[in-house]
Amino acid sequence: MNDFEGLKGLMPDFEINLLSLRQSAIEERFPLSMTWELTPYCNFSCPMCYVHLTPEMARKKGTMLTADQWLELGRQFSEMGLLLVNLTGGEPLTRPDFWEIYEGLCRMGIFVAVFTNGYIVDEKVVERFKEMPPRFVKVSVYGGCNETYEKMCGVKNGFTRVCHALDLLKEAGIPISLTSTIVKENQDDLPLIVQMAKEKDITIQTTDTVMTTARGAASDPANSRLENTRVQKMTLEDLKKYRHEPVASMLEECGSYGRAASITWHGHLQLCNFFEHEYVQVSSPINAEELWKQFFAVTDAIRKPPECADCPDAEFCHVCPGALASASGYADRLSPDVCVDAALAHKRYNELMAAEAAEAAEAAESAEDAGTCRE
Amino acid sequence: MTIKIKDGFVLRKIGASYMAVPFGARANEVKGMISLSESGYLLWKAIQGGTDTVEGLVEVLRKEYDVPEEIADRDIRAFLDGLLQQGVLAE
Repeated sequence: MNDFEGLKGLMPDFEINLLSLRQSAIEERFPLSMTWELTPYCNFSCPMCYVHLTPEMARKKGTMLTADQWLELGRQFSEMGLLLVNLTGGEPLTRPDFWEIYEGLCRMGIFVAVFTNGYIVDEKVVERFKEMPPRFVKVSVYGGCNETYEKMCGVKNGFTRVCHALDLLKEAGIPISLTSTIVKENQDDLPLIVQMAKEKDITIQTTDTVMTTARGAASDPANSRLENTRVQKMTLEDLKKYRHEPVASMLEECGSYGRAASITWHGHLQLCNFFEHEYVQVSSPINAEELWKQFFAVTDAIRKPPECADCPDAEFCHVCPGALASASGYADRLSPDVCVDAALAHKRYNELMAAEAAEAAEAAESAEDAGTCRE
Repeated sequence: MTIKIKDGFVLRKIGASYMAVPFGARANEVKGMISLSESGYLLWKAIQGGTDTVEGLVEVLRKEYDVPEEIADRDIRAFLDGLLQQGVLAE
């Protein structure tokens, strides 16, 4: 017989703290959240995409998981604690069985977020979202006018259609957020993109971080990405916060490790979408408990590249296994690309520290001079 | 009074937490999740399983917990009031 915890414990509480759930997921190692890449196909062809494949490329790489397989994964992982699923692609809405997967997951008591480019979000799509609301819809914005959409994504009237989709979603009360990756092809549109978000009163996150495509997508991100100026913009204060004790394992730099994972369109269960080689293959009959166990075995085997041991820039390195995988194809293999930030940050830190010291010395000298004068 | 929880909730145990997650039209009425204690989870499950009277729920609770009948009755009524106010119970 258990002790009764009384009225306070019995009363329902209409809010639940996701942060505490995240903490217990890490401690107990259960899959609280996942990103599911439902398809490698997309109605857009963007230069910086790391997923989009042609049918021929996809056939060589694997077979798409079926709706039944996704739903079985949902059923089994939800028994283990899965609460949040992000459905992404490619463009997830291009899957003819998207609604079967989406609505099936919602009915399991999973909060589903949908990542889309918004192009095929019309009245019918919004009606279905109204009937079965998502946690939120995240729309990627690629430009601030139709011309940029055509140049960047290869579609006509892209901006007009996406704006219409946003209006429909907003009117239906569906929570929306926007994201925009700024590359050479759309950099001039940044003010227009931000203005559109402001006018529609929707939160937008912009980034110019573009990963290379170790996954072999039909795109060319290396030629598309802007020069990385992030470190050059950092102040000394920023850099002091950026500096840290070198990590023992690169997994310490991963925000997902221990509580989250990704499953690619061809059933690779892996720590993040950027991985190419470190995964566990989902196959039927699905046994999620076993997959999760194997997933940890594969992930925990990821070691820091040996070259990092005596790296002079280690205190300024925030490279995660996903960045390594993206650049070199392997989560524990170094690529010169990923070391640039740490080296730049270290150099800038030393320069700014020296400038600060010189300024302080000059101020002290002036004060001394003033003191001498007074004497 | 016959006690019935509206359709559109999934009862879940995640880690050490108990909760009811609304979906579909219910998600428009009840935002987020309803956090439950272990005993709240037990009662919710019993209601979804067909126990539809306070007396029945008192019995369910007392089978699992060492609690006097009058305290169980009082607390269950308060629990049901909470659910009713939040629109969880079918009128």
